[in-house]
Amino acid sequence: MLFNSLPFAVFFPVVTLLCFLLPFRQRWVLLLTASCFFYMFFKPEYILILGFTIVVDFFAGILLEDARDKVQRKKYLIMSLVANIGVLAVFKYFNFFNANVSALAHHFGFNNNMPFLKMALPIGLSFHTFQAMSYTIEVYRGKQKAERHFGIYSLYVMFYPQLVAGPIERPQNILPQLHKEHFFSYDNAVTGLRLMAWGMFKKVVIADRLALFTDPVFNDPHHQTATSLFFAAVFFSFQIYCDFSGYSDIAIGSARVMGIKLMQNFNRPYNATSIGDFWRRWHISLSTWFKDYLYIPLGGNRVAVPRAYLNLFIVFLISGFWHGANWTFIIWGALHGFYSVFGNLTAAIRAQMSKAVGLTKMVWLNTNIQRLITFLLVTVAWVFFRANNYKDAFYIVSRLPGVIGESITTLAHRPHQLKFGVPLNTLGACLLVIAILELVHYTQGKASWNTVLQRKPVYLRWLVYYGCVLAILYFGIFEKRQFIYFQF
Amino acid sequence: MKRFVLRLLLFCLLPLPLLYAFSYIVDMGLRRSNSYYYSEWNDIFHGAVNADLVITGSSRAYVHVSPKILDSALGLNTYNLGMNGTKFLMQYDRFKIYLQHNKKPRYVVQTLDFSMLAENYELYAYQQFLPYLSDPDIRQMTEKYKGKFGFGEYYFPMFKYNNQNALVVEGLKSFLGHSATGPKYKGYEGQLKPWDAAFAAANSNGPGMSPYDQVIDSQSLTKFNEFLALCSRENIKVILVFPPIYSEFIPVFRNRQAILSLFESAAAKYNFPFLNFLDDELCADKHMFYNSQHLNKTGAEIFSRKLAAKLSGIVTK
Repeated sequence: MLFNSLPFAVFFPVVTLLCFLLPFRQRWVLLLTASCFFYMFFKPEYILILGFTIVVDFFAGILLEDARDKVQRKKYLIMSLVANIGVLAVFKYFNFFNANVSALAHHFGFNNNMPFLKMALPIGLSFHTFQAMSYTIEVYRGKQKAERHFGIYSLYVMFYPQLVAGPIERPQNILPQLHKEHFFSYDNAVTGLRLMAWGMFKKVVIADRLALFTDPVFNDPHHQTATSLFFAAVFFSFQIYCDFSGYSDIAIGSARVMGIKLMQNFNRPYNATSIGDFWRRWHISLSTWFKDYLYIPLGGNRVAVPRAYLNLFIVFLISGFWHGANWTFIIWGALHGFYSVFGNLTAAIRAQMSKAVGLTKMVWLNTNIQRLITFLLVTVAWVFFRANNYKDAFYIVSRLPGVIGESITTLAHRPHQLKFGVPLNTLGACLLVIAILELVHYTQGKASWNTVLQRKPVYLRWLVYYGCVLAILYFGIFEKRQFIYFQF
Repeated sequence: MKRFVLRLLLFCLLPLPLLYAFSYIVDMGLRRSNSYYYSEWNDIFHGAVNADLVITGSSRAYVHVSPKILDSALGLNTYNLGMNGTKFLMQYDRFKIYLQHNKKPRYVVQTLDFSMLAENYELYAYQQFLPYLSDPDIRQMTEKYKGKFGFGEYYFPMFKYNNQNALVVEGLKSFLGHSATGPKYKGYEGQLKPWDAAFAAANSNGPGMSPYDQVIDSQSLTKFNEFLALCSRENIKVILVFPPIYSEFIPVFRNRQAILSLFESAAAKYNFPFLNFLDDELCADKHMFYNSQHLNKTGAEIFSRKLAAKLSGIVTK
């Protein structure tokens, strides 16, 4: 079920209302049933895959806790990880490996007769698999008690707001909340609905409108001008942010209405002043997952400098691969790995250079230059993320610098011929929605909207709400577009 | 919780009267408008057509048959009901709505094409239906088509005008008595477009499209026969007309003879004339077309005169 669909507009209030009307002891049954229904709306049979990992991890957790020695505990952890990674390997990565083995075999004059798996990727597989893995790892580390209530554990993996695209939660945050009785709270409900409305605005008014520009350009890059490629690349940066953070806001907001607090997933990422800063603000639940369960176990930065950089690079490479079984995602991850390593290597030199030219004295300018450079680096990487294949991505990136020359020449001689590949009103609408987003972000930087709105009189609050809801209904794009991150 | 639910209900209900009123104003405005999408629907619903001869069909009616030429040549009041981007089912639905609101015509010129009886799931130019979505006939006509109109469009005020800023402005202006004038004359619009380069390019290295058999949809065929039977019963003479197609494109339809025979036999069954212009010299002249299936304004007006000449032997004043 899509958040931006009519079925969800019915599903959510009904489930929430029933949740508070039912006695606490029965709530998990309702929420679990609702979550199953939510998931099965996409493709019912895929729930069996989810069911398999839930059963394995539930018993693995108990066995881990009951195990007498470390060897046995390790054995159960490995069993759980193999089951989870195995599911990912089969359903997400098998065809990718098979295709690459075939290409390699063909290159050396052999044939690979291994058949391809003919099924669509189960929706949100990487998200709930990672959430399940974090549970067994935490139990193994002794930081989380094994959950002995099968229903509650299933709900931990399947809780519908964050089931298909996160935030990827930790057991320490969610399991205690699922055990605790939540009473209806007016503040929670209002805060949750506000967040949901803002998330929906970002998705249907901003992201899906930007997609009207970016989709045709990325799907046919060879017939575009450098200007339209440049705009498409920049717009995609905002599109993917609004698409994914919009989903996260709706997820966090809908859980909040029910009294459950999910972790923050985004914190104005394009305000980042470095790639490291960007990853502390973007998809926080995934970056902290990789930090906790991969980067630190690899040794983190408490090893020799070259090894620390290698660890950093490996984490980004795997993060890219987590997103999708495609070379474009791997290159995207590698690019971020390269940015991070290069950024760390040159940090001292860059600081000296800034000092030498006097930038450090102009804090505002220095910060904004850093933001702009970070944004441009991230945008170049997004091209690999969005392009239909890596050849298209390299082609687009190679043409991006041409935008400056093309714009100057055309504006000077033939301003009416500056071609964007789409009508000017579409371009104008895209720029307008980005301006609205940035205006909201700017004000959020000073004080949270929740706090600001709370202080305003009712009529002003309601005007803001009506503005947001009517903008969604009237200017939103309702073409049943999926959220980009559903595919992961 | 009670306080929250009451406030939420109040929040939802408060703007509804305003939105309904606004939606009503825009609907009413567009129902008076003469702009591109609405002039024919408004004429139909206001019973303002009452033609002796109506031309029905797809874009091959709308851009091919000039009522002005037919009016002067035949001395009849003619009107073009051609609907761009439609197959027969939609054209027939419009004709039935026409009959409900207007005097029945004496003659119907039904234009034909090879794909008119094919299945169609797309609702082309859905904007034309927006001010009439509350009309039961329009609703029945449109709900067969996938995906465009749902609960929100039918019941939530103004939601149907989502991202239709120009239409809303036009509706408001028209409500205040400042309607735009559309480009059509009695439903016809001659096209001043140059030859479609895409088709020419596709043909530069051989045939533009692989020949294929056009599948006939059984429901469309049943409705086509129902249409002919209805007209026959109501003493409305139907003249089946196959307008020109650019000659290089005709072979694309591999089963063209079978489809033509189907039209011929249907016409013969009800004793209706069948005028086939596929052998007309216009078909060979690329300068008369703007793409493979559509005549440009010059071609359409020559064709209209030729059609009028043939009709003059069939119709009476």
